[in-house]
Amino acid sequence: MKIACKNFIGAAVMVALLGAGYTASALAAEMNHHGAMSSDLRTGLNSLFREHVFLAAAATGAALAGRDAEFKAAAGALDGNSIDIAKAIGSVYGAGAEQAFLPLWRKHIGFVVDYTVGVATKDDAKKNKAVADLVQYTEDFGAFLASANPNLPKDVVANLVKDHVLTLKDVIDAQATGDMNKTFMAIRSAAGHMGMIADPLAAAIVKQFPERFANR
Amino acid sequence: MKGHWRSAAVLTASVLAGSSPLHAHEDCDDIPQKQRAVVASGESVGPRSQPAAAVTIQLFQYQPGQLEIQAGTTVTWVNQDDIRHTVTLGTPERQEDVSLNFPAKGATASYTFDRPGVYEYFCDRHPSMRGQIRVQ
Repeated sequence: MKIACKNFIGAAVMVALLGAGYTASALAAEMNHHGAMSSDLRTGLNSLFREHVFLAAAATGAALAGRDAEFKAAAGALDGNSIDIAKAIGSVYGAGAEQAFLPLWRKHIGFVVDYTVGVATKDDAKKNKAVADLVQYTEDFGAFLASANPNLPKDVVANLVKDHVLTLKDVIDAQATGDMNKTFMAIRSAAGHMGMIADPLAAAIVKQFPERFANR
Repeated sequence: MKGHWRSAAVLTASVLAGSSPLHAHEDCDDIPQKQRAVVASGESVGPRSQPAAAVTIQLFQYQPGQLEIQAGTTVTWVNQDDIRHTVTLGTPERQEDVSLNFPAKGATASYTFDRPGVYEYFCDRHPSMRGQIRVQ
């Protein structure tokens, strides 16, 4: 089902909204190659997670509007962002952690796709299952980070990821209405929320490895 | 070459959590004999003189991911993640009937591999988690 989407901003422009003259992937590469100061770590994680929201919104918006080529391009860029986030995790916790994290992260994107399909086809059962899968996923993600870092309690992380899931759900629901003002307010809210994950994650990593992250 | 798991798999599962009286025990050896018999589904894990090996489940990985052992070795897995994992024989596409369950952090389970072969396994909750036991 196609939904009119006037004034839709393409994924490339969304990435540009990150500002500061660089892309999140370039930041991730910098972190991986040369290590990172604590401020760089916090900035890098925020940029990666916000990029995730922008690209996810681009993909779901294109999917709901039936723009297949745009959806594929946005989905490809979103997966590139997932790989960069995994690399950032790996830069701290090693290659094994990176390899374990990526499929786990990709899993929640799959559930978001399921929810989007449910919205597009007006299939409440599919929507509800996707939401249930996403809620269960928050436990997995919380457990992963808690296993990596004792400063990140599983339940706290799970609740933060649940909020991420719900704000992304709000984006998809808004996109389905065709209300652009509502859509972009939801995108801003979802992107802003990612700081609530990135900031404590960065702080917990710095606390775990103080010798690797000097303050500037 | 695919070996065969014992039916009614030999399990020694203990959940080390909260107020459990087993909280301080990290492996089978410290479990009282009577309790070990109860949780092992009536089957023994074998005499203490049997060769033994260990795999840690941590950060959604089996560590080591590949293990080479001699036939007759008892492998013990211990879950260090705060989430349910399994050790399920086979692959997600071709799953075998035997699955060891690790419901929470601290849970352990053991199995004795009697026959040579290559045993693939995975976690049924997190299918990207893969491990392999090579029995000589």
